[in-house]
Amino acid sequence: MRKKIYCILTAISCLFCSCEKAPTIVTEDTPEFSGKMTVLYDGESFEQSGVKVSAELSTDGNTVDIMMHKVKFVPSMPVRIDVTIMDVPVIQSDGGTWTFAGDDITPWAMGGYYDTYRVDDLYGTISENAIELSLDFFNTKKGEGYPTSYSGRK
Amino acid sequence: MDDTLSSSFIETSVKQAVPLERMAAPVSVLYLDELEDRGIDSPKRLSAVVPNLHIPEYGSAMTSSIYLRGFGSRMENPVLGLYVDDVPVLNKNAYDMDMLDIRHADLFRGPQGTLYGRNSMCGVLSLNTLSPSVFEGVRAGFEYGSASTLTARASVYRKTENGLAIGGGIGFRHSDGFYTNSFTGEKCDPFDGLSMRLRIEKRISPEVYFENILSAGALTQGGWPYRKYDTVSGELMETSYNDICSYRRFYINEAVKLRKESSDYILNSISAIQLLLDRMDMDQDFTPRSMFTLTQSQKEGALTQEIVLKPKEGWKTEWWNWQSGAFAFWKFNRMSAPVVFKKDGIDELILGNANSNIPDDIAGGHDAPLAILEESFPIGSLFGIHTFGAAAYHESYFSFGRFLLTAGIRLDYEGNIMSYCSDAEINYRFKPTMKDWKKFETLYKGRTDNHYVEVLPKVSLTYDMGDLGGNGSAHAFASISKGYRSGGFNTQIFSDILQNMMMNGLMADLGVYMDDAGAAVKAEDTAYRPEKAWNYEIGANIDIRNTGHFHGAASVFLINCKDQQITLFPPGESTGRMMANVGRSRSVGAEASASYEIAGLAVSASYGYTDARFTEYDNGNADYSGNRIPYSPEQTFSARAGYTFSFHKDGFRSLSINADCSAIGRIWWDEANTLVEPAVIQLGTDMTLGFKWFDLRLRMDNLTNEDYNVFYFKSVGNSFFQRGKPFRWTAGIRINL
Repeated sequence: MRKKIYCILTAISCLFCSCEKAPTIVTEDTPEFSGKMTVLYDGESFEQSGVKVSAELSTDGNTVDIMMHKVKFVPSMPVRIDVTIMDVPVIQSDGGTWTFAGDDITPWAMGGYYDTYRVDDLYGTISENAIELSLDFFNTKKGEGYPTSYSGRK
Repeated sequence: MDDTLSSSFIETSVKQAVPLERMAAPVSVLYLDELEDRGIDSPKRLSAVVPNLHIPEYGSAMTSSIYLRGFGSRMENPVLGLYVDDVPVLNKNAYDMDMLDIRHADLFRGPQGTLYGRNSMCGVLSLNTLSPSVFEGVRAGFEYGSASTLTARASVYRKTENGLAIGGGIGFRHSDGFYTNSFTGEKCDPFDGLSMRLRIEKRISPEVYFENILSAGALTQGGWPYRKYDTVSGELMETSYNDICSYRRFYINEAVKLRKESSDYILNSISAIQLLLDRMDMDQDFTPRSMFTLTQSQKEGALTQEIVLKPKEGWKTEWWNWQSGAFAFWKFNRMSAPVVFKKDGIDELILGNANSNIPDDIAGGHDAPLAILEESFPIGSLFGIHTFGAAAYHESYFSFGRFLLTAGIRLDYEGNIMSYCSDAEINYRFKPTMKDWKKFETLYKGRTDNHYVEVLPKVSLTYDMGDLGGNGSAHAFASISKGYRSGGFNTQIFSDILQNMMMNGLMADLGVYMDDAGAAVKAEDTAYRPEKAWNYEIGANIDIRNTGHFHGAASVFLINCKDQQITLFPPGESTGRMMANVGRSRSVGAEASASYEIAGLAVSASYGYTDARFTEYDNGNADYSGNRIPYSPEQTFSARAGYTFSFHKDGFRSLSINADCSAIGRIWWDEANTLVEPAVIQLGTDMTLGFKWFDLRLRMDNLTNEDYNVFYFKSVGNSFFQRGKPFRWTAGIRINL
C-alpha cells in the first residue's frame, strides 16, 4: 500500500517540480510539531530531539510544505538551518490522516532552492497530533545521501 | 602688567571659604602673566606644570582626556571638574578652550566632591577670567611661529562713570598643522579658532552685585595624526588615512552671577546657559583602506543653577564659619553618530566574519557565498540624552586655636535618560541559492535610563604652625574626602550592537543560525555606573617672605577607587569602544612644589609621583589585578628658572630670560602593561623684552625635538600611536595699555 501511494504521489510531484516559489510563511495557525530527528551519517545515527517541524497544506489540499526549523544534519555543522521541502503531493485517507510522498525535490534553504542537496524517497504521514516522515538528503556534489527520519507530536 | 593679579588673596571662587594656604588640599595657582609667559593657552598645557596632571595633546580639541593622580579616562566623563567663573563646563568636548585673558587658574587636587560634586573626583580646575572691575586697560597680542601658527588677540576693560564695568576680548588662532598625512601629502591637523568674551559688572544696589559673562568660540580643525604600529617589527608607520578627519565646534556660554551681601550673609547665585554644537568626521580605521568612517554631530543645550550661602559677621562666630549650597542642572544632547561601512569594511568586517562561519558544504563552492550589493552603507545612530541632577551641600569650618576643622557633606542625585534609534538597510544575496538581491532592514530603537545618588562626605584638619617669626606662615593638613565621576551611556557601542543585530538578523532571514552567536550587548547594558573614590591625604605648605619669597608645598595621598570606569575594546574586529565599571584600583603618590623669588630671579619646580594599580580587574579573559592603570603617568616634573633684568628706563624696561623643563612618564599603554612609554623630558625657553607699552616675546618648546608618543589605541585589530609635537617656536608682541 505504502509503495503504491508513494508511486502515485511522486508522479504527481513531477507536475510541481518546475514551479518556483518562496516558501510558505509559517503563521500561528500552521501546525507545528516537536520531536526527534535521526540522520544516518558515516554509518552512525545522529539524533536531535526537540526539532520543530511545520506542515502547511496548500489551499487546494493537493500539496504540503514541510518546514524543518533550525536543524543540523551532522554534528559538525557549525550552524543550524531552516529547510523547507515544498509542494509535496499529499492525499487524505479515510481516517483523516494525510499521507505525503515525493522524490527528487530540491529543498528550499538559505533564501532559495538549495541544489547542493536533493530530497529523495520522501514519505510521511500527518495526523491531527503527529507527524512521521523519512527521506534521504542526497548531497549532489559528494554523491552520497543521508537517510533521515523524523517523528514529532504537537 | 601692573596688577593685583598675582596676589594669593584673590578669592578663587565663590566657594572659597578659607585662604588657600589654610585649605586642606594642595592647590596649584597660575596667574595671567605666568600663563602667557609659559605659553599655556589651553588647559592641556597645564600638564606636568601641575603635579600629577597629564592632559595629553592628541586627536583633536574634542579629545580632552585628563589624568590626575593615576585616574582618568579617554572618553565620557572626566575626573577633573572644569569651572570657568564658577560655572561648570558640562561637556568635556568644550574643555579644550582658548584661555583668553585668564586672570588666574587654580587647580585643586584631590576630591572636591563636597563643594563641586560630579566629576571632581580627582580635582577641580577653576579658571577665573579677567574682570573689568579689577583691571582697566587694553591688552593685545600677536604671535607667529612654527607651522605658520598665528595667534592674535585683543581685549578692552573699562569702568564707566555710572559704575558699569565692561570688558571684552577676542582671540584668533591659526595653524597649518604639525603632522602630515602621507596619503594626501597634506597636513592633517590644520586649525582655525576664534573665541570671544564679554563681561559686564555693576553694583545694582548697595547689596546686590551683578555680573554677566558671555563667552563663545568656534573652531575648525583636522587632526588624529595616528600612526599604525607594527606589533611584530615594532615599526611605526607614517600617518596615512584616506577619509576625512575633521572637527568643528561652536559653543556659547552665558552666565549671570548675582551676589547679595548683607551684614549677616553673602548669597551668590550663578545661573548659566551652555550651548554646544559640534561635528566630528573620522576615518575610524586610520588606514588608507576604505573600511569605515564615523560622523558624530552633537547639539547640546544645558542649564545650570547654583546658590551658595555664606555667613558674614552677623551670622558667623569667631570659631565657626560655614557655607551651604544647592546646585541643579539639566542638559539635553541630541547626537547623530552614523558609522559608514565602506567597501573594505564590508568585505572584511561584515562579510569576512559571516562567510568564515559558513561551512563549505553550505557555501556550495563559493569563496564568499554571502554578498552585499552596496559599496557602502551607513549604520545610523540617533540619540537623545537627557542628563539632569540636583545637589545640596554644606561645609562647616571650626577654628580651635591653631586648628581648623572642616567637615562637609553633599548629596548628589543624577539621572540619565537615553532614547536611541539605530538602523541600517542593505541588499544581500546568498550566492548558492539566491539569484536576486534581497533588501534587509535592521532597526533598534528604544529608551533606557540610569539613576543614582551619591553621598560625598569630607573631613579635614589644618594646623597653623605660626608666622615663622613674622616671616611667613606654615600649615599642615590631613583630609579624608570622597568624590565621584558620573555614570552614563556607551553611545559608541551602538554601531557594534546594530552590526551584530544586522548580521544575526540577516543570517536568520536566510534561515541560518550560529551555534556560537554569543551574548549580544543590549542598550540597557551600555549604561555604566559612577566611579567613586576615597582620598586620604596629609600635607603641608610653607610660605616665607623676607628678602625673597619662598613657597613650598608637599603632600602624600592614597586613593581607593571602586567601580572604576575603563575604556574597553570589545574583542575581535569590532569598531566601537565602551566604558565599563571593571573593578577596583588604588593610587598612592606624592606631590611637591616649590618656588623662590628674589630680586629678578624666579625659580619654581613641581613633582608628582603616582603608583596607580588595579586591585581587582578580571575581564574574563585576563586578570590585570596588580597591573598599572594605563594612560596615567607614573611621574610628572616641571621646573622653571628665569631672571629679569630691570632697566628702569621709559623705553626699554626689562629683559626676562626663562628656561623650563617638563617630564612625564612612564606611561603604560594597555591593561596588560606590555607597552610602556618611557619618561620624556622636554626643554623650553622664553625671552621677553619689556617696553613701556609692549613686550616682545620669543618662546621655544621641545628644544631637543624629542620624539615621543602621546597616545596609543587599537582599532579593528590594529595598534596606533600619536607622536607628540616636535620643536616649535613662537615670536610675538604683547601690548598692555
